[in-house]
Amino acid sequence: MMNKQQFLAAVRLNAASVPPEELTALLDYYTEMIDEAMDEGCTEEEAVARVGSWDEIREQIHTFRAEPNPVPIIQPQPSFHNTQSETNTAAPASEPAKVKRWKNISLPTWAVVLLILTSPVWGTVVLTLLIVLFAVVFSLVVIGGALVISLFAVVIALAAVGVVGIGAGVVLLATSGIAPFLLTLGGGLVCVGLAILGGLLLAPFAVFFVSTVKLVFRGIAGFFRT
Amino acid sequence: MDIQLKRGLLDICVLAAIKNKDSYGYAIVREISRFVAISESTLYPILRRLEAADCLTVYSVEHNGRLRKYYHITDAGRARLDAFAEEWKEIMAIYHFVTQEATDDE
Repeated sequence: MMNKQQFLAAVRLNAASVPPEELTALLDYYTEMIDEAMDEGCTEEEAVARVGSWDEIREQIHTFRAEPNPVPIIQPQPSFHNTQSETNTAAPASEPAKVKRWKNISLPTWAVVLLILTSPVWGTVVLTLLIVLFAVVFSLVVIGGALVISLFAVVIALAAVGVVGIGAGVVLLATSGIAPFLLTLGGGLVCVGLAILGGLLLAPFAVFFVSTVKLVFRGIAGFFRT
Repeated sequence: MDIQLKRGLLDICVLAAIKNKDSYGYAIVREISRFVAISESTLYPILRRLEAADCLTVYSVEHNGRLRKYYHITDAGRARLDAFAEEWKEIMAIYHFVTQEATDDE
């Protein structure tokens, strides 16, 4: 149960965004209504209660605030994209808000403004995540590349060893006899064989790796191209 | 009752209440309450709306040491009442058509 002063203070609170002249008129009106009821014999609390329930009063203040601006007719926005249908949101006050588009995601203006305003918060998070992601991808590329290169090196080394071995074996045939010749020749041939095998296996893998890296970079570039 | 319909009818009721003589807010509420549920808080936006539409004017009179606001209907307000009456002649005809007993065609 409120008295007149409390009630008027509460009305003032609820009508905070109403312009001053309107607010004065509103308060004068309710003061008058309460006084009238009291003249008829009500107590102050009774008079305040009679004036209306709080839900009603709040609603009435709200409808009154909305009255001066009639509900706008939603204007269709000129369409620049034939394939996309434009959607509109009507702002509570006057002109309809335009819709921002990015990669087929429609966002009303207020959402864009909100995103901009809170960007220091979510921006740092997103940026950090992006940097981490990029670092991981980059490391993988480097590691992969290093692996391929070292495997190639192994293959080449094997081949070299193999060739040297065969050559040495031939020389040893002249100097040390059949057994050393066969051993070294055999070893050399094995190495060459391994090298050829390794090379055959590695080559397609290397090609695959290079094309994957190319795809990844193209994908990243494509994502940023609006 | 449909809320938009009720709103429109309340505007008309208020104008009708001050059609023949000026009246003040509290008395208007008393008078209209006979026909439709209305409270002081409901009346306020209606009065403001009618004033904004130039259907009534406001002036203050001193009463018991305080100011009482009186409302006076304008020509535009009367025109609004006339338009309402005209429109509802047609609605009343339809109403009779809808509710008449089929006595004549038995």
